[in-house]
Amino acid sequence: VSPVRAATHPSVPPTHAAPEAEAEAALVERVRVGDAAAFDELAGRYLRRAFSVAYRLMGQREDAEDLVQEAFIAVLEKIHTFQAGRAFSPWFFRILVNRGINARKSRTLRQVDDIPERAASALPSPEREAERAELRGGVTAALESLPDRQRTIVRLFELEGFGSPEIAQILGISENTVRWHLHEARKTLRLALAPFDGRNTDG
Amino acid sequence: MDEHTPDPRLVSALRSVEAEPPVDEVDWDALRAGLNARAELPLARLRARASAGGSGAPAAVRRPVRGGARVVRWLVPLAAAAGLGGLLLALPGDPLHPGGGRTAGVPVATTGQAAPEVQAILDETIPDRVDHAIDGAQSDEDAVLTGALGG
Repeated sequence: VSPVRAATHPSVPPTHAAPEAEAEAALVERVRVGDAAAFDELAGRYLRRAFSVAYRLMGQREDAEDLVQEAFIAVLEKIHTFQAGRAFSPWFFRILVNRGINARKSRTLRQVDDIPERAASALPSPEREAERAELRGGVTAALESLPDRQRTIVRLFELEGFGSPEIAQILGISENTVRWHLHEARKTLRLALAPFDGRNTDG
Repeated sequence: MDEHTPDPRLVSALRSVEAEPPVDEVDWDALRAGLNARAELPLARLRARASAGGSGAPAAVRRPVRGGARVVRWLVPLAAAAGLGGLLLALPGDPLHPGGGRTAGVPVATTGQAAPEVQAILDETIPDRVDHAIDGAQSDEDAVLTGALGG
């Protein structure tokens, strides 16, 4: 996560700051021995981004909140397997994403809220609105046609600001595999967008 | 467009179909409090594990130590009670009956304070030689033993 992209997620500690990484490592070590205050602080650092990723996976606020809590509890249950000196973030998000993917498979999801219309300062014309609806339909269909893994990768990369190396660690696959999935997903999505090239659909 | 940076056009398109995480709808304090409440038990397990591991002794060694501590817990009140009993015996006079005229080292039975009924029972059951030995009238230890054995 570059500093610029991390800035869009204020709860994410900058990964390149060594003192910050050391402080986080110390925090994790305190959690390892059951320090409740350290756990609260660690959870506070990741809560918002965890919710954001969970929401991308689950599509529903309550499910996302449940997933976030389950992921943090899983952290406590698995923390003896966490290797000291490694970055906490990819390890944590790996737990969260894996649980989210499994939850999607096994749980009957509650009705996903309708996708809200994007706020517009001026009401769009009927033609513009129809065009946007058509675009949304095409992108939604393309997104749904992607294999689960590609959909997860494209969401983590394009919407949540994770880099390929982080996604590789999160999903437990090689960076090359991430790049290949990303390439394939982008190809599919761009194909869906092609009919709208040159049109302004931002409303 | 390279594969290391997000594609703005795709990002825009995805954002148009993917609802943004409703971060304003989340009660962050409640979520955090709920999380901390759920974390209490796992954290307690971690603390227990850490303190058990902190002794540096393997479980097989720690178990007898815990057993020893249990014995000490029983021994302490027993020792205190024994000490208190010894103290009562050693004290001059009868702390429970301050006016009783009891003297150190003299059995209660020799003071002649027993009730008449008790004295009658004692007269019937204790042979004379034992009675005399207890009274001090007969100091021969053999006589006491013989009397006690019913001889």
